[in-house]
This record gives sequence, structure tokens and C-alpha cells, in this order.
Amino acid sequence: MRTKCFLFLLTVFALLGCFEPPPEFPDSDIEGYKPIYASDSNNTVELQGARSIDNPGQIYVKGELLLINEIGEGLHIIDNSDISSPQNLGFLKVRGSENMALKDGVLYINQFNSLLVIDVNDIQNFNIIAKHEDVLNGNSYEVPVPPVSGYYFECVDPSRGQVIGWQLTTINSPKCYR
Amino acid sequence: MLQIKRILFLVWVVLVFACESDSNDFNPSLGGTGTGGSLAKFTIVGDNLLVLQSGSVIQYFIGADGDLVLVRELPFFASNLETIFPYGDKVFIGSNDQVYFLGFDGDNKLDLLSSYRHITACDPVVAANGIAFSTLRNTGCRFNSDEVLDVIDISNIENPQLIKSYQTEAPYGLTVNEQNLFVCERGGVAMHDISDPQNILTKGFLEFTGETPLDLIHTQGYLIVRTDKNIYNMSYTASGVLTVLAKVE
Repeated sequence: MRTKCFLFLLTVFALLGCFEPPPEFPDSDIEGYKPIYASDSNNTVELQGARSIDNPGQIYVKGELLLINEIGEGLHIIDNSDISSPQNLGFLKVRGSENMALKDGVLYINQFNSLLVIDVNDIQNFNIIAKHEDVLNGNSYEVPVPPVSGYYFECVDPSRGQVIGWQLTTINSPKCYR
Repeated sequence: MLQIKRILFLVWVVLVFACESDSNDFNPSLGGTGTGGSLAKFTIVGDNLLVLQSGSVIQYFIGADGDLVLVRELPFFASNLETIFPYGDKVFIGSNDQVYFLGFDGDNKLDLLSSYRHITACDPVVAANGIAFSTLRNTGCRFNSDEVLDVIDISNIENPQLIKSYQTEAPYGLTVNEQNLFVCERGGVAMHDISDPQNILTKGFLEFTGETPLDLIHTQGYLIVRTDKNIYNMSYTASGVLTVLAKVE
């Protein structure tokens, strides 16, 4: 009997938990989540030394050149002229990248939800021709809400572009809760 | 004195040659367009870059300076578009319930020509000689259905017709040349003779232990294979012997 009563109370509390009204929004500093925007991350495109292939994604071939996407990090540049002994030459860092194509020495690659146009005819001196900001959607980096519920969070400002993550920190006068 | 000069000269020669072999003289020809895998979401057809989104395709015109000009965004009633593959001046899109066949109209705008509905699964699609090949997978995917390799007659692209469905297991990406179809399936890479689409014959198979081949590209008589962990160069013989030549690392 006692167990039944306890279970009943537990159920009631659990249900109450479900219908918990949104809390008051404090007008002060409080622990909560702050969005990390794609535009906050270090989006510098740069040529780096060869690194190991850890999480390979899309592959792309042009003659003896093989490009391998390190998912979300950039492109491995491989000299595949000797297919028995491919040479890892370097790494083009493009954060948030997943997809690419190449035409006449111009590389088209996404950086989060932006599209970069990069002249790679001389890879040592590559040249960013254009950056088309926020033209893509549906890439796997978008995280529109904080990962954990029960926290205040800084409301997302769509004008700052795509949210790629959340940081638990002290925020001031939040207006959103999850 | 002469001796020292001679030695210095030799040292200089050695240094020059050492520098030369050190410096990277890899200068690939980058004219034209390359090749992506069957799971690609970016592809180039003529002077167009096509970008696959989950529910639309964006067509950009590539100008003389390489920069992009938006032509159109073609929306689909689906939100499950997964792969895009160029075939001549046509474009195939694999989604999880249909294969879409697209082309360019008189104004060079991308448009839908036809679609081929299949059982619900995950499916990249490739083609050669008027025949399209599409693998339908449910392993690690959404739905419970047969896993098959569909062979589709697209000689009349307005009216695609299923030629035959072949049973397989856990198929992923695929690539094709004139005579052979290579498929990531059954935990390895299979090579099939496709000279008779009514009767596709498996010529060879190479199992991968501890990793799963996901996609591959056929180029210049060899294969580049991407698994969930690594990238490999692979050779094949006409009789179906598949060999890993090297791991790219």
C-alpha cells in the first residue's frame, strides 16, 4: 500500500515536472548557455603541413590530385601520381567543410553554411575569389537549441548567422529557457 | 687550393640537388572538372555548380573569373535528398524514396525531367551507357525494406524503366565504367560485369575487415575507396581480382 502511494506521488510529481511553467527570467547574471556562431570560430583558410587522416569524408579526384575532406576541418591534399605510394602533401584548413568540387583550378567548398570560391591553381599562393555567406542550409553543424534542457540561454540572433554550438557560462538577463 | 675549390663545387652541386628533390614539384593539371564520389552533394555540369540541399538543388553559373552567379534554387516536395551525380548533360539525384532525373532547359536552367519511385531506403545512383544503377540500403538507415541493386533503363530519360532488381546486403556507394560496376556492399567492394543488364555477374569481391567501405571513385583504370576509417587506392583486373595498392595516410 505504502509502495503504491509512493508510486502515485512519484507519478504526480513526474507529471507536474512535465507541466512545469516557464520560470521567471532573472534580470541579472545567471548560469546558462551562450550560442557559438559559425562567424565566431576561426574561419581563416590556411595551408598547413600534412596531417593524419582521422575522419575522412567526401573524396574528389582531378587527374593526379586527390582531395580528401577531413569532416568539419578541411582538405587533405594528396599527390596520387604514384598510386602505390600516394604522398600526403598538406592540409587546406577550412573549418566546417564537408563538400567540394573543382573546375579549372577553382575550388568550391562549404564553410559551415557559406560557400567559398578559392583559386588553387597555385596552392602555395591560393586566393579566395569570393565568400558567399549563409547561402546553404541543412548542413550537419547547425545546433539551434542548447544540448541540455532546464537551462536559461541567450536567445539566438539570426542576423549573426548559423549556430554551431553552445557554451555553458554566465549570461546576463537571458530571455530564453529550455 | 684547386682541391678545395673542387670540394666546394661538389658541395654546392649536392646542395642544389638536395634542394631540388626536397622542394615539392607536384604540379597537377587542374583544367576541366574532376570527379566526386557517388555520395557527393556538390557537382559540376558544364559551367554549372550544383549544390544539393536536403530539400532543394541550387544552380550556380560559373563565370569566367570562377565566381558564382545564382541561377535558381529548384525546390522539391521532398526533404530527403541525399546524393547528386552528373551524367553527360543530365543530373541524377538520389533521395530516400525516389531517383530524380534532371536536365537543363533551353535557357540553361536546371529542371526536373522525370522521377523513379522505389521502395523507401537510402540510395546513391550512377549511370553508364543509358543504364542507371541505384543501391537501396536500410542498414543503419531509416526503414525496413529489401536491400537491392536496381538496374534502370534510362535510354528514354522521360520514362525510366526498371530492368531488374538484384538482392544485396548493406550497399553504400558505387561507381561504374563501360563494362564494370563496383559497389560497396556486404562489408567489402564487389566488382560486377554489367555487359548484360538482365544478367549482372559478380566477378570479384574484396572483404574489408574491421572497416566498412562507403564510397568509391573509378578513375584512370583504378579505384579510390573511402571506408568509415581510411582511404585506399585499389586496382582491379579484367577477371575480377581486386587488390589494395596503398593506404592514403
